[in-house]
Amino acid sequence: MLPHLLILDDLFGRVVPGGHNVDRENLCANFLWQDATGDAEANTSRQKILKPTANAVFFRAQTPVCARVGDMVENDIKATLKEVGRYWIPQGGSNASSLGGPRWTMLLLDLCFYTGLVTEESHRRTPGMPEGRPGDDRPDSYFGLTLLDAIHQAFPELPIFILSSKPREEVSLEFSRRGALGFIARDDLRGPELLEEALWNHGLLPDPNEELAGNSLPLLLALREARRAAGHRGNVLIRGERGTGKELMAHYLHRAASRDGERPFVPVNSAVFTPDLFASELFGIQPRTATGVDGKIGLIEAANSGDLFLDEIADMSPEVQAAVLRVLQERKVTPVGGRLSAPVDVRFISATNVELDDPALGFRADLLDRLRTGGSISLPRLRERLSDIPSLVAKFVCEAEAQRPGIRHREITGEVINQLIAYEWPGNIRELRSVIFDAVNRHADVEFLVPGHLRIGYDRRDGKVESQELDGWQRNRVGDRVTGEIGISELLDIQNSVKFDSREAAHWAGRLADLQLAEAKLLARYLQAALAATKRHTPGNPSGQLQIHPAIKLITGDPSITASSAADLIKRLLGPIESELDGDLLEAYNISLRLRPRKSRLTTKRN
Amino acid sequence: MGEWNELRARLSHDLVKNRLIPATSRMIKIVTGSVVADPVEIFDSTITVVWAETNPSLKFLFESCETELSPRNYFSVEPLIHCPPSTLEWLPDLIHELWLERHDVRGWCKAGSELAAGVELAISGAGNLLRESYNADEQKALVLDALLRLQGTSSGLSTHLSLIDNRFLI
Amino acid sequence: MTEKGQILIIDSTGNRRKELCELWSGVLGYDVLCYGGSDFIRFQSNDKLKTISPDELSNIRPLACLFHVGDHSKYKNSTVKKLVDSSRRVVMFSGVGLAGPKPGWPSSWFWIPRAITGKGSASDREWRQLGDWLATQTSGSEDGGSLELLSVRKRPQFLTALYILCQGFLAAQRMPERFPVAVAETRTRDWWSVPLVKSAGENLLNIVTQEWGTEIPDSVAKLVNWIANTPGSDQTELAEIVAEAKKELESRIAK
Repeated sequence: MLPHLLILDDLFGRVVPGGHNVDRENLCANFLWQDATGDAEANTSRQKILKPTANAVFFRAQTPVCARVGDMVENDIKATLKEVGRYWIPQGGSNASSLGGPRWTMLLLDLCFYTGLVTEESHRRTPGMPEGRPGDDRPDSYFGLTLLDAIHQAFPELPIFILSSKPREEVSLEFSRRGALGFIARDDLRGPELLEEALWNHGLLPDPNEELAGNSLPLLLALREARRAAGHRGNVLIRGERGTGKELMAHYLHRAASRDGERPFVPVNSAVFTPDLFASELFGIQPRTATGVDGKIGLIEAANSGDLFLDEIADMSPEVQAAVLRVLQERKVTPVGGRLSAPVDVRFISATNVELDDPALGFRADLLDRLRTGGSISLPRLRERLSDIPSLVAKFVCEAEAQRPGIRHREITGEVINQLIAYEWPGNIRELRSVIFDAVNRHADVEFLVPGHLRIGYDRRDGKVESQELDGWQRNRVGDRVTGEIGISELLDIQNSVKFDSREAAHWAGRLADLQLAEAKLLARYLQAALAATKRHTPGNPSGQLQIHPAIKLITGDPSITASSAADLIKRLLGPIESELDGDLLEAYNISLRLRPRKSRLTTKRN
Repeated sequence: MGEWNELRARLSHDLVKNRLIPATSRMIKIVTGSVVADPVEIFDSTITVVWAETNPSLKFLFESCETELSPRNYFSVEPLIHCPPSTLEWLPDLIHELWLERHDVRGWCKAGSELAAGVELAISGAGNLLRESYNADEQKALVLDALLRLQGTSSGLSTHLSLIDNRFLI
Repeated sequence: MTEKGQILIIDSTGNRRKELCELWSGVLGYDVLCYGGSDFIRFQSNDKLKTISPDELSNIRPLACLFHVGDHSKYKNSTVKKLVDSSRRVVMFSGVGLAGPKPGWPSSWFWIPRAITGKGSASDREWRQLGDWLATQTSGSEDGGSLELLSVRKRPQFLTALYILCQGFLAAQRMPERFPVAVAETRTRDWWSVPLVKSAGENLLNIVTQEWGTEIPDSVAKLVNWIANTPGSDQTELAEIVAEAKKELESRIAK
């Protein structure tokens, strides 16, 4: 998709009665813009741009747009704001009629707008242009600066650049004060290159690879932050709920930074770093020929001159945090068993779905500071970018169909989009992807994707769950056989995502807490059983030592779950009923808190 | 700075910067193939037309600079209009002489005229080449050369016109 | 001859003269005569130019003469003078100054100090206003205020005037052989005060300060106080003060 530019300029925006706006043609040729204004000028252009760099829409910001001799030309802020609003969706909202439509990538604004009477002489000099009034070309009264004020106030996220042939130094303070991001001199022969750079650093550009598909403002703002961060080697922190595409964003940032050549990208899940493994994984191992130990390049060294992506950094144990901090401070690594350290040039891109600033989480503040020296990028939740749902759905349908050769291709109906937009998406894009893949896989032989194909808001394993049509509130029923086949996390997500019809508020008031408590107690029973089953009995400890890690592996059925994740899960499961814990459950809870500390600790109530 | 300077600003800004230079850049894009258009039609309707308007005004600008900007004019207004005849016999001419020398006014005018003549020559050269057989690659290279020359001389003219500032007044 | 009358244009700059002739003849509908320095020409169009004989000239009484201020010296030519004096109104144009009559000019002369480069220098409206003004007044230059479109009223520029006087003073001191009278004259208070105080009265220091915009430098204040004969302001080191003040003035005016 080409960038979509709006150019506010009296000279270029005017329509020449019965002729051609030569100035606009010149500008479009020089910048290789496709004139997308849709007016008479655009429709009768005498040139064709073979490889346009942008679609350009011109607007005069004055009335009348097509002025003749005898007309009075006046500036028009109201009409201008309306034009700007035409391809702009306010953040946080969605305009159903413009879902998926073009959005302004950037606005280019002239400074001097001539007003007054169009005389024969002024028309002869420049068709459709007025004589001008005193003050029109005075820097302290440029209409362009007034427009800048008004537009920036109404559309604060819209990137604006000045494009003018007036001297930059006349307005350099004012344009910055009023919100413009830069200035391109119209007569600068490097104009096209300067604009390209401006679009890269400041424009609202979608991901051309469509890995982070969408055109919503929150997404475009996040992508822009990534491109800006790509311009330097500072470490970057990516925040976002689970399923929002943090790893994809890390890839995007990496690709943006690697435009000039290939650099390594090494992704790592921080939870992998148990206290036993982290050193060798991160720093590598020095080969010891005497003892036959094979050498191994560590992850940091593998990422040298490129990017190391640390996912889920909240799961990093204190030992690993300390080791990473040392590397960030010294910018050197020493392999395990080695004596010599080697300098490294690695950018750390880390990701998290929790507020690491919260002291209760126990994440080192000094490490956090170093991990975001190059800034933070916040990925929006899917419900903040509902206008992206159509493009995301189209993408996932394609991907799902591509995995099933021979499958029928289907169109996506409008009712499906409406239904998907109505849901909250606690699992964000990953959840949406699951829903779409599930729908495509279960309905391989259809030409249309319809609401009945969707299973939204619960586990989709066949035969275990049922669902009902969404009718304003969601009813989730879980099948009778609650076993390890249903993930505990998913169960908790379901619980948290229950929505109540506000019309029945009186009926449901106060009931949710009871429901959650009952459910927590039920799950605690299963955990208690698992703890008992996995106790380690030794001669020295005949009653058995609690092992929370094996217990969680048992009830989740997931052998790869890490110790820290196990501790987190126990905290989540037992947290709501903390005050009622005793025996093994209390001990397990305390162990978890020691492993993953927070502010308050429960003291033993009973033996 | 007065209306002479308004003319200068208009020539520099409206005509050279806003018209001539962009039109030349556009022609370069046409000749190099990024933009598809009739090169002769575009050349005639843009560069030829704007130069026809600009050139006479430039001539006037350089011819009249000395008269219009001379600090001698300050003896026609308050307060120096009250100078006694004995002062008016020598001081206005002296001031004018000092001004001419300090800013090399005649040099600026001469250089400006030469630059304008250079632009005229470049336009004429490019126009003639375009009208000859344009399609051969060799011819295109010559046209491109001529247009680049025009671009350079126009930029030079624009810079020269921008050299005038408040210091030139006194 | 048209009903509107004849306009005489005296201008040695060819392009401008030609454009003004086209304007007053073709657009505004007057009979146009012009003089560039050699012959008097009757202008009907670019293709229809006719030299006017001396006999014909003696019978011509133009409604108005548009006279470029830079060509004022041509007034010394007897033929030009006769023709100009026979015009009911003389409009000097171009240059820097205040619109209106000038001391020493005949009462029928009026100055529009606006750079006229050609037809496009003023709007059609402005030219017509000038034509109407020429038509309504039989003689004299009063009521020039109705020409507000073309008249430029500039405020007096004391800093520039002071700067010029400083230049004159220093040149006279440095080149006494060239300016034998001026070398002494410029050292007198009167030489400075006559033009400045006549315009500013007792407010010279205030006016200079206002024009400066911020606090005026010491050297400029000393000079101005001496010019205004402020008590305690006698200057024995006039040359030094003037040299210093000139530098400050030059720097300020150039901003």
